[in-house]
Amino acid sequence: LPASDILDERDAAHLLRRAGFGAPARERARFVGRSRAEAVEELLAVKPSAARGPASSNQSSSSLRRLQVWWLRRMLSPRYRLQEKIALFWHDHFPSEAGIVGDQRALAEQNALFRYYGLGSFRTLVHQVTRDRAMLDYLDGVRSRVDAVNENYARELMELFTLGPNDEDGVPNYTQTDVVELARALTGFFFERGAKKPLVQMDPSRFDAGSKLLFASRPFEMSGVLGVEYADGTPFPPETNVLEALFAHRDSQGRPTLARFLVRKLWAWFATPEADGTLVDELSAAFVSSDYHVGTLMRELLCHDAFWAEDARASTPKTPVEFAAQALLALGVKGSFRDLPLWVARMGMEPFEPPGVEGWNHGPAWLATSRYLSRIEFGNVLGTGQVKQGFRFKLKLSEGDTPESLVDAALAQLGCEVSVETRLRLIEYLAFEFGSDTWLRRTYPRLFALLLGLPEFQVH
Amino acid sequence: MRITRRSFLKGATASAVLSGAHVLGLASRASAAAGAGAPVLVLVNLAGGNDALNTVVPLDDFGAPQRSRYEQLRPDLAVPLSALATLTIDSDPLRGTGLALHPSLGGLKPLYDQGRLALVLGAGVPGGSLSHFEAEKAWFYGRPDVLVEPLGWVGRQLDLAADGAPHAVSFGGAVSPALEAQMAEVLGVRSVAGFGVPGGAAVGAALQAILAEGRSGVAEWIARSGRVLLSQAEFLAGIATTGWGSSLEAETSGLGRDLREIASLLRHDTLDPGAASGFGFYHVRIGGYDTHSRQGTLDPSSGHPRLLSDLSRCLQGFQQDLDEIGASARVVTVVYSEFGRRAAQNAGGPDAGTDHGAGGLMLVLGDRAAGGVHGALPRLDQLDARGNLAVTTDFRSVYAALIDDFLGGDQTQVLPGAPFAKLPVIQAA
Repeated sequence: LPASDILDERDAAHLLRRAGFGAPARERARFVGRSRAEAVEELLAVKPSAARGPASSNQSSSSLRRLQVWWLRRMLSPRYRLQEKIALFWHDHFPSEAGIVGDQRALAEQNALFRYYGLGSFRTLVHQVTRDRAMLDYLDGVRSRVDAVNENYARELMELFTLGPNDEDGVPNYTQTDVVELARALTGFFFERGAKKPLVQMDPSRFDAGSKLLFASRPFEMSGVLGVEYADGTPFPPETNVLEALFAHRDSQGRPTLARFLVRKLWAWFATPEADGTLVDELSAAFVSSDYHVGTLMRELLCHDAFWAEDARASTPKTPVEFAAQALLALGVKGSFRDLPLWVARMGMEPFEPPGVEGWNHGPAWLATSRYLSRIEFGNVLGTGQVKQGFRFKLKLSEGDTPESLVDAALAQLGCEVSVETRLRLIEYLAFEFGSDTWLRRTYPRLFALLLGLPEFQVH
Repeated sequence: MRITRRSFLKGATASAVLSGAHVLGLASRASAAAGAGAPVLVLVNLAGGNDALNTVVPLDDFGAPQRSRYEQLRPDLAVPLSALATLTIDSDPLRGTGLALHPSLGGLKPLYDQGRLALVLGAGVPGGSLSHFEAEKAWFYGRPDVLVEPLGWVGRQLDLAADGAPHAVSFGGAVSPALEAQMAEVLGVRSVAGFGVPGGAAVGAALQAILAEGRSGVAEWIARSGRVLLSQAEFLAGIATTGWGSSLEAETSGLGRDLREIASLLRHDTLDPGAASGFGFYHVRIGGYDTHSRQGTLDPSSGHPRLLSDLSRCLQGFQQDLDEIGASARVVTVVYSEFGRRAAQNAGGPDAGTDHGAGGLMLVLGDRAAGGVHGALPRLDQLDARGNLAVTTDFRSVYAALIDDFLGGDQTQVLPGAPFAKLPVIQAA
């Protein structure tokens, strides 16, 4: 194997940050010396899990908090990593808001879908989401029926979930007629609101059994009695499954629209904000030839040279959940994490409460003024060990420690590379009244506000 | 997921021209462009697509069969005439159709009667998209051709006088794309209350020194955001946002809280013009307007009526605060939404809602607003091929009036494709 294919400490940190939520130093060390392929394989080896967080049918914020803590704790576990990372990606991709979907059990079920199917077939996932109770409620599918077609889900399914409004040359991928035709094909799903165990069913009397014409006069036009299921409940016959039309869609250059759309989005989430055309060609070819298997695509993506390139590192602002998780794991913070949902919410990313159907707004928006401030405040809370908020953190201090040794150790723990000047500023800060009572009570704990406020710790 | 690519790219070039004083967060407030008497524009964005047709409601068939078509298209959503008796406003200026405000907007009626509320009918993006994100980009960027690299329309105005100090505040945490600028600084604020760097002076000083170091790319963009944060933290921490008698004192979240904090900043600027904030633009975004289902007609405790009732209460309270502070002469509030909604309801019974539409509604509120009804209610018997109300007023005709006649700017420097004919929604001071 070429030497560059073998992970060093920086490579291991990079992989575990991007394909997981970071890791403590000793865990990073475990990956050093392996090949990229071996390391990626270990992350992909996680078994699909149907684990579902605690939820009740009510709408209280305290029960939502329990579900959020459950999920965030799971992200922090070394056992799941990529499974929870991809679940978070799908939650951003197929959002549902607790403020709109009243029944929190539906949110927990949807979350379990992302965990179970997240690294499997995207075909299956789209189908599952289309008949998912939270999504049916959130985007009104449950209220869309033959005599009252509701366009909400059909439009977002094409615009945000599978195709995008325009292709890479600016040519519209679909028309308003297509939105209506797709909406008609997606009528008929139904569940009993308020039932003890609400079951999603296909109600033939609500289904629009008329003929539809989707993507008219394009080579991949589809017509007939399109639907997701036959009205009699026969499951998903491929010859009429309207979701297949989305997979068959080709852009104005004849390229697979859905594959390219998802590749770009996954690349932005896991690697760098922009993917060049050749890279998209390569990865979407792998996605299509694997019959849209997400795990296969992720393997290609994470093993790609462009993922490991120097300019992919420190290229992307961390999402608040990534930022908080990396800090907690790197610093070895323990506790109940009771207030963790509050903190990531202040930073702009509350799980189960995305800002809208487009998911979270990524990029520099994560570091807008108030949100940046919340990251610094979070560092202060961790450093000062706010047990009541659910964070237990022990400051390391032993005989012979100096400001230099403490700053270097903390930077190494965080896996954060800084300039010579920044390091000196941190040492200077920590050297003031070094070892005094005030130093121990105030100065040293607040070093972590500074560290978590470093521009270098905001990106990965 | 949206990534604002331009923001990534701008960091390096922008930082190169910032003055040393600004890099240290020391930009002087006294040099601020927006002095105590300067105009202040407050933008309120109703996200999701406000149902214009149930906000300003047709009362009769004068000039066109508006009322009868309205009742046919919306058997479960049409606001009954009996609920509108006390809410009549001026008639449609083009056809003379009688009009009324939705009953939940009762709080705005006195402002309308005082001539301080302008209603722009049929406002929208010509040839606009039915996608939330395409449509709102047009409003944010001030241009319908949204494939180009974006700059907010307010951002372009800010860039003309960029001096290193922030003159715009975006509530909701992140910065609205409408305010996105090439050079100018914009604050993204969740809440003014509680703003302040933790850990005391030593942490602040160390952070300031670290953020002032030279960087490039994303890290520089982030450091720049940090420098703006430090430069404003002390100032914002000193603003009293409660306890001064605001009509919105009881509002603890959402639009009411944001407007109270804006009023608090304007109060500070009025009381202490020498240390004024320098903020001339505010942006507030409030969601929930995507009423595809269970939209409701009259019950102010749910659906669209509740949204309108919140809007009315908050705008009324805000205007009252401005009057009491003595700032109403210089503040104009503009309410906008990415599109109106489909003319026909999409279901019967309590599920009834409306899908994405076209022609919408803008509100312009304040002493400088030319109160009354502007534009024309799109004809309900002449819907477009998608069943939508036509756009009868190009949204840029309102932006142009705001820029030229209120902000004292030049629309040709701000709006691509300008000049646009101005809709007279602003009156002389």
